[in-house]
Amino acid sequence: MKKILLIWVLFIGSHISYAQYQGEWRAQLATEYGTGTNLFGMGLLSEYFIIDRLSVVPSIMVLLPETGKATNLHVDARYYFNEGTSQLYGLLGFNYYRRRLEFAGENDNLIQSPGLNVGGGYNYRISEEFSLDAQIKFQPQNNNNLVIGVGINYHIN
Amino acid sequence: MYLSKFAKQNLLALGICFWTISAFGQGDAPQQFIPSERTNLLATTESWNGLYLKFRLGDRWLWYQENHYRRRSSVDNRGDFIGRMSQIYNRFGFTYLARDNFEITFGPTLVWNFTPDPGNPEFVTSTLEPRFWHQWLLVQPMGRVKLFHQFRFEHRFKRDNNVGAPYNYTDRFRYKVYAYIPINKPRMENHTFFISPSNEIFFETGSHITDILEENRIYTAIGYTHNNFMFFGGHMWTYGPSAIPAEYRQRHIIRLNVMYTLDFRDSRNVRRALVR
Repeated sequence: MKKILLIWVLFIGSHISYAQYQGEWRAQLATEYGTGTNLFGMGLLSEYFIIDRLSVVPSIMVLLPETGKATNLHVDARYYFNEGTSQLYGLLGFNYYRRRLEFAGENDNLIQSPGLNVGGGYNYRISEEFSLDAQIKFQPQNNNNLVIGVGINYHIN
Repeated sequence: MYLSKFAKQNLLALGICFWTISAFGQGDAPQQFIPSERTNLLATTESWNGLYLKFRLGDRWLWYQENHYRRRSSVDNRGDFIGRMSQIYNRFGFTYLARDNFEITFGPTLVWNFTPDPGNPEFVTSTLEPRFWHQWLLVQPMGRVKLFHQFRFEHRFKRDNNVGAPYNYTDRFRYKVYAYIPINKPRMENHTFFISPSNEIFFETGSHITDILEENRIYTAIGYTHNNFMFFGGHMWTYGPSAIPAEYRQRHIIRLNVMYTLDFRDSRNVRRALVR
């Protein structure tokens, strides 16, 4: 009986330790790669839980083309399906892709593409402070670009 | 094989003959410039303004961040410090406190390098220079003075601002020795005036690099600590080879910095205690 109680306490404890709760803030050092754009980028992401399990995630990614410049701005909503060390989430959001070309004329050297983000991800808690994050997003309005991202989260509060 | 004295003399003459023909036969080849002496360019001036952040994330982890706004002297006035935009410099990293006297930092860097000639269409306004960097810092207490040995390694992807210039990869190896010397207190603490002299040497390797020595920087800062802030600044002199062999450039740089430190550990623990 004592063993069962101990296992139950540990089980509940582990869930409480790594729950998502209203008012929680996270910050992420993030990287991403777009299969359609063939561009790698890095940037910063923040996450705020407006209610338990549901968060708003704005991020800015600086992409690194060989010539010119590119950025990708995302604002996503994430819903976490479970709690604990391993967390799965689905996401839906908005992206704004901006590409400045180096060799085009003044009138056509800027490409701007707003669109939808649909995807999901996986968050693995490695310590009280840190977690690793991997996600994939489909962007149907950006030439079916598939964005793969990995990053490291710091759990601020 | 035995060769007579005559045969040896003939072979020697033949060798000299071939060498002479081959040497004179390269009339169209570019002549390699061999400088006879070192030339020092006149010093230029710059102004570097930096924000440093150190956030204590856990017992052994810190977030480290540098954001610099750097300007340099005008094309036609090398003494004005701020005539042209030079760089926006962003360095981020996680620091792991391995021991009291040893810490490791690693992370990305992203630098905007601005055109050397504003308004010239042959140059793009700015280029991006991403890097990965890691640093190994050893702390050596010496009475009231703390001496630091900083080994920093940067793996850089950099290009010129010329339109269409390719990216080149280089590795940079830096060693900096610096000290914090408190003036009005027995050790570094709140409300301490201090002086911080340093010297840093830069080496660079890469397929297009001709001189492994990149630069030496001598920097003396004075500063003051106030609660979570540290204000410090001073003069830095840099000296190193230019792109032309035996030609050296030098810069006088005024640096003004503020560092802000914050400890997240308490707020996280209190918050979680309230939530649970």
